[in-house]
Formats: sequence, C-alpha cells, structure tokens
Amino acid sequence: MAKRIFIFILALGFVIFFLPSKIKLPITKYPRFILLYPLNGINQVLSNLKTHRKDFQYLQELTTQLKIENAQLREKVFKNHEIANSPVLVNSDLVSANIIARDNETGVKFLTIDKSNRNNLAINMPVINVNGVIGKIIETNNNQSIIETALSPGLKISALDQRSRVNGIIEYSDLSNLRFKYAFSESDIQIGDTISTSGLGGIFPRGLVIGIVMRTQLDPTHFFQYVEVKPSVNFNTIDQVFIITSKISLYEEYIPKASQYDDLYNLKAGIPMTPRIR
Amino acid sequence: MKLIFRLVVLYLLFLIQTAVIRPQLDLVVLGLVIFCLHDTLMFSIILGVWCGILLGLVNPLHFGFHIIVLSFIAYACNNIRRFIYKYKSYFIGILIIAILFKYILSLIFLGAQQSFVSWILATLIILLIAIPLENLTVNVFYKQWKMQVTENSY
Repeated sequence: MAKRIFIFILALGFVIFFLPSKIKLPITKYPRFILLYPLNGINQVLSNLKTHRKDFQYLQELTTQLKIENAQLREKVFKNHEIANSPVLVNSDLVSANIIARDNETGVKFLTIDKSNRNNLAINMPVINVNGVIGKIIETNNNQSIIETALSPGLKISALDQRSRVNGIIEYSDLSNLRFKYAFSESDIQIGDTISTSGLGGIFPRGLVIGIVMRTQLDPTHFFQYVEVKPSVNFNTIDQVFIITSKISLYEEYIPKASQYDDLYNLKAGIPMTPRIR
Repeated sequence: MKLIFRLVVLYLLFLIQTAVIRPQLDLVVLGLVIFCLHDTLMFSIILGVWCGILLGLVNPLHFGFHIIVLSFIAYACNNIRRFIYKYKSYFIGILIIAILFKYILSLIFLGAQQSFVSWILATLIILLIAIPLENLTVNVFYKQWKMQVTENSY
C-alpha cells in the first residue's frame, strides 16, 4: 500500500514539476499565504533588535531616490538637446520591504518579502535597492510577495552600456555574475563600463544600474561578444528592498517627428509596396 | 498525534532554515532523515511530501521538484535502515548521501546551485549538529517506544 502511495506521489510530483509556471503559482498561492505567515512575525522580532531602524530605512529610501534621480540626470547628459528638453519625472513611488525568506537551493534566486498586494504591489513590478536592480515580483498574495532576482535563469532584463549606448539583454551567467548578451562583436564595450536598464520591455524603467563590465571576449561564433557583468547588488547580503509601484520612465521617451523622416518614410497610403528583385 | 508533532518539528526546522540562518543549512533534510530512520514507511512518505511542499513554497517556479526528491529520500532512508542502521556512523553516512543526492539533483534540474565550497561548509555544519539533534529527537520522540521494547523483550 505504502509503495503504491509512494509511486503515486512521485508521479504527482513529476506532473506538478512540469506544469507551466502560470498554473504553479496560483496553486502555491494559498499554502504560501498560510505556511509562510509566521515568517512575518519572525522577521519582526529580528528587526526589532536593530536600533535606529526607521532612520536607517528613511536614509536608504532617500539614497535610492537620489540614485534614481542621479541616473536620470546622467541619462539626460548623454542625450541630444531634444531629449534634454523633455521633462524629468519626479521621484518614483517606492515601497520598502524586508526579505523574510530565500530559496533553499541558492539563497539568491527567489526572495520572499513581507509586503503584498495590500501594499499595492503587483506582479512584474521592478525591485531595486540602493545599489541597483534586484529583480521583479513574480507572485503576490495578501501576506507576502516573491521576487525573481536577476540571478535567476528565468529573468532577462533589457539593458544598455551607459557609455557607448550598446543595447543587449542581461541574464544569469552564474550565481555571482550576469551576462550581457547580443552585443555585436564590433560593439564598443570596455571593462569598467556601467550597464543599466534600457527601459525596453516595459518592466524596468530606464537608467537603473545593473552592474559593471568585468570581462569581454569574442564569442566562438565571432558574431557576438561574451560580456561578463558583475552585479552592483550583493544578493547574499541584502535584507531590504524597494519596489517601484508606479509606472515610470526616467524621462519621456523620444518620439521622432514625422517631418524629420519624410525622406526616409516617403510612403503614400493606398499604394502597396512591391518587392524589388535584383 | 505523533504525526502532527513530527510535521510541526519539520515546519519549525523549515522556518529556521529559511528565515534565520545564513548560509542556509539543510535542516529540513536532517530532520527528515532522523524521522525516517525511526518511523514507519507511511509516516516517512508523508513527512517527505510535507518537506517537499514546504521547500517548494519558497521556490515556486520549481514547485514539485522538492516533493519528488524529499519523498524519495524519505522512502530510501526508511528502507535502508532495516539493513544497516545500527551505529551512529551509518546515520551520518545516510545523511551525507541524502544531502549530496539533493544537491546533485538540484544542480541538474534547477540549473543554479550554491557553490561546492559553500555547500561543503554548510554540510560540515549540518554534520556537527546532526548527532546531538538525533540524540535529542530520539530522547523526545522515541524513548517511550524503546522502553516498551525493552520491557517486552524481558
């Protein structure tokens, strides 16, 4: 009897394991709400031991906002006068949260925080701290939320080199480093360059620091570069994060006026384009 | 009632492992192995599933993986103990194999894992506390059972 139950459980485990995450996350929502509830209390007890907590939190929040503002201003410096004339948005709405649990394999891939949809958190909201990007929220219930960090293989962030404006995708490389992908071999990327979010993709606002280029080498295909990025955030030591709750972009996106491109886009409505065969 | 006590103990170990201690130690696996070496097969399977659910909650995208791994560990421990569980050294050996088994499977199926060095360090700490915790558990949960066996044997 026990053997049959064991086989049934193994089969059930396999089925659950291979379910898509869209189904898995709702399944685990209510058990997590109940079973992880004590973590909030444990966290409160631990946090009460820390003195001057509120001041510290306020200062961290202030620093984070100033960092964002600094990033905005840096972005403006890089842009041409048309973008420089666009309005800079005011500081975003941040919700501070404490990390109450970490995933059991690595401790850095998934973080559970003590804030939830009661605090206006929602799925896909970006999570940052003083030093830069941490990840995004992938699940939230009435008590906790789960963050998928940049060190999780599942998370990919659209990014750019702040100096040379080369675009690419940041993704997991190993448990301490990230990889900046799809930078062409002739792209100007140097060691020490700062990689920040590009704002493409719509989740992360533009200009948030992700990390610093540590190593570049030519891909075996000779088409792309292999760029290793050291994250600006130490994922092992963070205990507090900030969630950006409002949709922000660091400045109004530059939309070119049609008149400037009349020559390039001299298309007339109603006349279909015919392919040219050479 | 016995089962509920065991579930609560494993739950407490999970809370400590997840929220308090850094770096994370496999306290849940330790507790599971200790219980499975003493309990019935059915109890062991239930405890394995329970631990799998708990660990899956903080790793939701891989929910189900821990259920498979930990229920297998529970099942294997319970079956192995009939043959070799006589001395403390066997307990330590089984524990090392269980933790290594979980580590390797996590490495293969979940992609990322903590580095081997930090894993070794965490395992050494686990081994240090394993024997005292096993003694404590046996005294708390299984002493009565031992006495009954002794009385019956006379």
